[in-house]
Amino acid sequence: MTRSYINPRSKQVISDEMQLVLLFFTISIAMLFLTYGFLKLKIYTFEESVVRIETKKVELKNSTLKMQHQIQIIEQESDRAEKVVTENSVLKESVKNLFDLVPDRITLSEVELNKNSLVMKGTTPSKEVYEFLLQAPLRSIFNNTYTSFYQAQNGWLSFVSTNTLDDEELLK
Amino acid sequence: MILSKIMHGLYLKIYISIVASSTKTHVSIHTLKGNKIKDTRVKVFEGEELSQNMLSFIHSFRSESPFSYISFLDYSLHQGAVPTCKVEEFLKSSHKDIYTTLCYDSWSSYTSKIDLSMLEKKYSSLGLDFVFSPFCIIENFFKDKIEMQATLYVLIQDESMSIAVFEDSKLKYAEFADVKNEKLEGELTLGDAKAELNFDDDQMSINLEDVDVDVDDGFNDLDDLTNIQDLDSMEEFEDFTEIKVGDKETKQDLMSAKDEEHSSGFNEEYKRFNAIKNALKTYYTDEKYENNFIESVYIAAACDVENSLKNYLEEELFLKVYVRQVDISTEVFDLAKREKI
Repeated sequence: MTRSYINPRSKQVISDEMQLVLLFFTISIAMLFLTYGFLKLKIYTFEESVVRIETKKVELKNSTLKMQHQIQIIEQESDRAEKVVTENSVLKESVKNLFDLVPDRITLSEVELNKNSLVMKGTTPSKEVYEFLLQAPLRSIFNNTYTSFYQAQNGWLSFVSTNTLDDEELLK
Repeated sequence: MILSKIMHGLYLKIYISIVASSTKTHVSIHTLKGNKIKDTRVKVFEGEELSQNMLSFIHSFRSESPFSYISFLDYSLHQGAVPTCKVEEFLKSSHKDIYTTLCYDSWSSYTSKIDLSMLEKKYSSLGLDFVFSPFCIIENFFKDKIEMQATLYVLIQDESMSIAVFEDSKLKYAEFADVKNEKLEGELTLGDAKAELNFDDDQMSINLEDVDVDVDDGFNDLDDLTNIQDLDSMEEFEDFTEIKVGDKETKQDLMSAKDEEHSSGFNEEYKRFNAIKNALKTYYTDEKYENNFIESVYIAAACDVENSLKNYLEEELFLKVYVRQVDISTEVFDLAKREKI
């Protein structure tokens, strides 16, 4: 409990000049620490960004590889598609040629075109018409040609012509 | 907070106690290392003014540590203490604002705000830290006694007296008496005549009927003033404050003044006795105070007190009188040491 009518004045331990010097040093040290902290923070963020970029680089590399693989697949598919298109066009040409080969007097009912064989079913007015007009060109194309005839209801002859190519011919 | 404690531990604490009167100023300096008193110096300076010698004496110690505290014992004539913390019950409502009050457990002391600010201004070159009431000195000095039954305690200083009644550690009555300016019965001066005029605080009017002056004795000279022109011939009225050295009449006046001073020295103890008697009268008669019979009086004497005072009190008032010498500046230091800093 205070017994004094007045309160004691605050006591100054350090002189004004000394306070100024201490303030100067405090500010200097504080600035040094702040700069150190700022640089430390910058280094940390830089390291963080380096790690992030490294990770991104790996991810990009992986995605590049993946994309290259996909490109390869696409190229393969493209090649295949091109091959199919070519084959189809060849086939189309072959079929066209084949149908061009068939004379008007012979009627085809079924054609089965395989890789190294051609099976044709149809009707012909006579065996001679068939042999002269169709069998001769078939023999020039295929290595083996075999034709069987049987009598149709309308008096014509139905035929089944089986033509095959040798493997050596295919390889050519 | 911790830094402050460390600083206080590192430096010395210097307590400077100043006890002033109109004739001399006691300055005591206590140097403390921790809680131990390392050094104590006391010096008495003439007069109450803050002299260059006093300043240099104090500054020589203050320069040793930033933790120096200057304590002062209040000597305002307008101070006192009341047995309650509600000071307004005892002071006039118009006076309430002119006092600074300080409440303790069950009592409070007060002093004039103007005197306090004047004191702070006077010692502004030093700067005061604590100003204590003399009643706190009484409470502290007689702390082993105030727990008793109603007892009168008196602190006697050169020019003043602090009178208090404590009962069960509670203040019952207090009065600050200015012994130096107190006049005994039969003494009459212009000041007394003025004092006896009945000033009404509220109306500020003077009731001339109440003026108690012996016309035959004191105002006979006025008969000489029947002719108003005689005023010009009374040269002594013009420069009555000036004292011309070498003037025989003035020398005689000075001698008579010295005699008067000497005789007043004889009356000093009687004045003190009178102040105590009046204080007791007020204590017993004023309904504001709870009074119990007082058997003994404890006197803390900060100056030389003649045995006659003790005899007066014992023979006239039938009191048991105990006198203790008190080093008042040490007591002020003791109070300052207990303050929170």
